[in-house]
Amino acid sequence: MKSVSGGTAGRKRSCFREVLNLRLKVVNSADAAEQKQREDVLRDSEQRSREMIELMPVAVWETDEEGSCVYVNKAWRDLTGLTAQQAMGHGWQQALHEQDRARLVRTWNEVKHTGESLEDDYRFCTPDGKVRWVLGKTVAIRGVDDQVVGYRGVNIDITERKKTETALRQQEIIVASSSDMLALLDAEYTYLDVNPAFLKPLGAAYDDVVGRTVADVLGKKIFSETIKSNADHCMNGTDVHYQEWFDFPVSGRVFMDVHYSPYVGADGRVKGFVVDARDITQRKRSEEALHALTLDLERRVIERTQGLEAANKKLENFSYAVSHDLKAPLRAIDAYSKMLEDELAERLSPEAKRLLDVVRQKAQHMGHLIDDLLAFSGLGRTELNLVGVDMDEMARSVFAELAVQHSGRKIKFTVHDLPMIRADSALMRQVWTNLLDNAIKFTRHRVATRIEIWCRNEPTNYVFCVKDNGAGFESEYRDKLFGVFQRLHDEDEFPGTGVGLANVKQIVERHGGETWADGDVDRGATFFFRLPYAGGLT
Amino acid sequence: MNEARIDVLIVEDNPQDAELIEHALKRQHLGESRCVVRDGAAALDVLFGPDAIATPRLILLDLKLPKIDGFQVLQRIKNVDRTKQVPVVVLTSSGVEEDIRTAYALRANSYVVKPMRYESFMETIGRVGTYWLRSNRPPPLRPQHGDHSSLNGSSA
Repeated sequence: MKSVSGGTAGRKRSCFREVLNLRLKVVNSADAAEQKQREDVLRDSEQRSREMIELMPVAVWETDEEGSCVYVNKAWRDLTGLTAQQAMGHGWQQALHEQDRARLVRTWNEVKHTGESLEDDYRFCTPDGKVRWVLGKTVAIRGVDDQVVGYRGVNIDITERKKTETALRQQEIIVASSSDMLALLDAEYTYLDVNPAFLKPLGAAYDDVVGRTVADVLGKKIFSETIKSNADHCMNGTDVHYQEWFDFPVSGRVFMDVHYSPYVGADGRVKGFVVDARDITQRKRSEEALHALTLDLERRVIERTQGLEAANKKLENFSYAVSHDLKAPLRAIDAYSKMLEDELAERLSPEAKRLLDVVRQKAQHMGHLIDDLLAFSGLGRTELNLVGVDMDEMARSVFAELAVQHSGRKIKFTVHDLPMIRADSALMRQVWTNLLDNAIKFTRHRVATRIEIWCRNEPTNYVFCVKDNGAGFESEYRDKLFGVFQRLHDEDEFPGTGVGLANVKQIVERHGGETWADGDVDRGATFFFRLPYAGGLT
Repeated sequence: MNEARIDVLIVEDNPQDAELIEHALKRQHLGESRCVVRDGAAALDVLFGPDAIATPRLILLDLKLPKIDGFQVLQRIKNVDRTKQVPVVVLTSSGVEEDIRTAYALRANSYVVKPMRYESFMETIGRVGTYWLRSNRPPPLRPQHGDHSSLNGSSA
């Protein structure tokens, strides 16, 4: 489709006149009066045609045989924003959009003598910059001898149509490049249109799908089991969303995320439905893998927990057995030693009596060891009951209780403002009891005992300190202090079972803290325990 | 039914403990006749079997027993009309709170943790016997001072 338009400005000859002259030649044999009358009729006719053309809503123009513009009507002038004078000759070319101008002028120059009809889309641009798309149609005007005597053309404004076309083409691009499977179907489940992504997993050509039904293309089974009910639901006027496994010839088994939306016609009635389906197999598999992993993790946690519970139960049973089976013989040793002592009474030498006393003492000590060990093993099992604990008050009251048992001692006890913390009250009392009992015990050889307690703040922790001026310890063994049954001193000198500090360590650790100590032989000891502000977390 | 009159039935699997209990009662002249059985099955037999003894005035019951444990024996005693009024004092090494609760739930009349020290043991059995066989004064619930084992027993 090529089109040529234009004319030569300045020439006064119009095509109409050419035609008229030719006609006049035809009638030259008639008499003058008749000829005059006919001429008048023709002139009137030409005048009317011209007026009609001038007022037509379609842009019209004319050129001479050289392609030089000789006429433009009002619609053309309105469309281009040029005056008739500006359009004459080659002036019409100013109306062309600069991107179309060179092409059109070239074409026009090539064909303007051949007499061909031309048709083309191009743009006009008005002097104030308004761009209009037009369809140009040009036909040659021929004389009696079939010679081209000029050209006549029309321009139809197609700007709106072009806009729609552009929008549609852009949408087509979007649809064509979408990786979603897109399809439009009618109410009989027949494909009206599909995008390339729809064809790919099927390994099918466009014509293999369009015009055929879902049952034909995807199979009767999936159609009747899944698609039909969803499509029917959609065609009742609602959007439908579902996920399902599909078997496709090329891509195989895929998990699809499918949306149906009703295809509503211009009359407002549902004429079919639109499919938007996305392959989410990868996501599905990841989800399944994650789910499996989560289940596995949960199962392992449960197993581990059950294992721990079983181990705890075993330990509990073990402790119970220990309590019965170890203590009963000790009770017997103690009792039978005493009964033997009573039986022999006066016959018993002082040395024999001392020996029996040692037996009883050691039996009782072992009883204490067993009790402490049982209590220690029980510490790890009870739930922490976190409450507000006034450490200052607690340390003072524990010391007061212990001091009663050592009323003969002179002890200077100093507490420097301890904070309120969140902890298990009963367990924290045990910490203070063990630490202060320790401090009192290991200062027994001091004439003036000093025990001092304070607390310092770290960014996220409290550090509590208990300092005494007692026997201290060899600092290289400081790590052994907190072990069960670990003793750094002679039992006769500082009696005890060696479980107290192990209790402290266990309790503090259960509160998310830690314990350590500083000291040297005969220079006293300082025991520290750190507790997070947040309270026990384990 | 065997007409032998029994004041105290001692259900105790540990022979030394049993002897100590008898010794304590005898020393303080508590109950003229005593019967000792070594397991739960024997206890039920003595109480409910074909050759059952006359209903005792007091039963001292250990919990950890061979064959049938103390709880089952206790339950049976408290569920039979003839024996449910007989005071049952649980006498055991265990101070586990759960055991104490279970024993009282099964209507034990008292729960006593066996002291480790001979002197404490004698005194405790003496008080238990005196209360249930002679007076109506409740036995001391607090453990004896200086007796470490019973102290810890109740906090285990």
